Amino acid sequence: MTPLLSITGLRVDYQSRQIGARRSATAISDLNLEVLAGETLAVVGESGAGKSTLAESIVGLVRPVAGNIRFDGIELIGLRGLQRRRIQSRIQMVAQNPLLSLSPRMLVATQIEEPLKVHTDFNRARRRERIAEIVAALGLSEAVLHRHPHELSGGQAQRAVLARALVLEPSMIIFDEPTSALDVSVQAGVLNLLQEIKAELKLTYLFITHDLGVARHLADRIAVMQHGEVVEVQAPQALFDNPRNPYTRTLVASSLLL
Amino acid sequence: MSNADDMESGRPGPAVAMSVQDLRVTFRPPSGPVRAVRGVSFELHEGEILGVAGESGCGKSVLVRALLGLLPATATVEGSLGFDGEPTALDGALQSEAALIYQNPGASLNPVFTIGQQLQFVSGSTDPTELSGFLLQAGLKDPEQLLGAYPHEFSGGMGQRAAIALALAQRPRLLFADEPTTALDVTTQSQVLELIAELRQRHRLSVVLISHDLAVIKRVCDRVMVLYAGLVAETGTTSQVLTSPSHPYTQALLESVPRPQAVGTSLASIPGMVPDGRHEILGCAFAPRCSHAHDACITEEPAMKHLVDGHSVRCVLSDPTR
Repeated sequence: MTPLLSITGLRVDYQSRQIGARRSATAISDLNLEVLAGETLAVVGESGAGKSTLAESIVGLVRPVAGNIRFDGIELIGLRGLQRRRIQSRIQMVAQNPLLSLSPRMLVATQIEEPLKVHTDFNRARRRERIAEIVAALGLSEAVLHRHPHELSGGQAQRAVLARALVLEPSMIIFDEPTSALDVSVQAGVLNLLQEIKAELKLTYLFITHDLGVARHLADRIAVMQHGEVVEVQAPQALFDNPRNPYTRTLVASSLLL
Repeated sequence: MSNADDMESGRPGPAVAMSVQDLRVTFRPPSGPVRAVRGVSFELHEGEILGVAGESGCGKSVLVRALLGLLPATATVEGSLGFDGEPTALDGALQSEAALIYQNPGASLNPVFTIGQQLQFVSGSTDPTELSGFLLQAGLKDPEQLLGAYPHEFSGGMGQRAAIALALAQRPRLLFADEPTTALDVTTQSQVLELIAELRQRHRLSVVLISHDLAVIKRVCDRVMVLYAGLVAETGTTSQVLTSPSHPYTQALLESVPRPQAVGTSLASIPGMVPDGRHEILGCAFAPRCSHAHDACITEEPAMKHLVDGHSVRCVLSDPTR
């Protein structure tokens, strides 16, 4: 399989400006990672390891100081304007807290429609049609479309966010802890749904999680991050049976599994 | 780590530290009463860790706050509480014997005082050696230096350890821990759980540990009580409940957790939501979400049934006569 996303030598620094001093902290240093077309790559590691910064670099929310991010052969770093938008519509992101990802003031339908208004020239009827399709595929009822986010359950809200991510038919979705705010019973439904739509829509997933159990369940490969670097990439079974990196060993040993 | 085996062997059980009879909590907002806890009875043995499991909204946190008298005035608390064999009022009287740690250590720590000052307020001691001793017991390194530190200088794991040190400084007999490791990283989580298990041994603490995560419960709890819609659905030793779950709710919760056996298959999710306590519940509260439900489940509320030593379940299906 060819890599859909390939990251080499990525470095991201955060600047903090205090009076009289400018300090910078390195969040990601010399990170290399490939995401193959059609796979689910899970990224695990502790808070502060740089997982979310990695996601934000890919979607252009932070600006790396060095390195390359190539998506489908196109260099993303430095890409601006229309070209960036065109590529960006193919990489969507789903964050941890669905209620923070949705505007509390807008109806769910309006929010799912917005990406279509920005990125396509679909007319109103065609947009409606596309929304209806995606909502049906995700098992959301039509009634949910006419509600505000606070009227939804956790599972419904995360499905609404997912609908907004999927409406543009992306090739890749980056999930940043998409189920850690949900109860296990609800998480199970969302994870199943992610598996189903991935197969149906031939998607590629980059799945950030701190839960090794979830990573093992979903992933084709697991990448372990520590201090801003990827320290190990292995298939789940191999990672659990034979962790090579000392940090991975600690992580596997301390993960609580049923 | 578990003394579940002792109980199964039929030796006389340990003394009862706390007993709760028919605890009911009703919130009374203007929009109408909400029954959050609908009659919970249990015993906490001396030196044991009792896990309280269930989804959000099952009444786990409300139960603990009711015992400690921490609920707002809009809540009506009924039932009886015994501590050390003595009847105890549900008005906060238990607070002198119990410490509570929260999911977020920030909720236990005061941001404007140093850790040393806070330990001093709680313990009444001014001896730095004694104060740093609490930090040491909570597994913090360089305790003398930390006495002068403020909570914001701590990482999540250190903060939770400081909250535990503060709890120890109260010299409690009971420890209530409400999702104490949910906000922590994987490696820190297992260390904090080990700390709690170690402290209960050393101080003969009796611990109530709330967690929605059954893996956490499995790691440290001797017994577990599964709550659903403000009632006990199932209770027993951790091994009884986790290896032979008898309530369909417990079974469904276990099956929804990604486990090695389930890789490549789809997980069992529980359709629907926990009832919110605003409506009167007829029959079994879990029936609308239960794949085994039949007519009897909708008409009568099942009573708690005894299965084997210490293992009880609230489900009509567990009745051998049906």
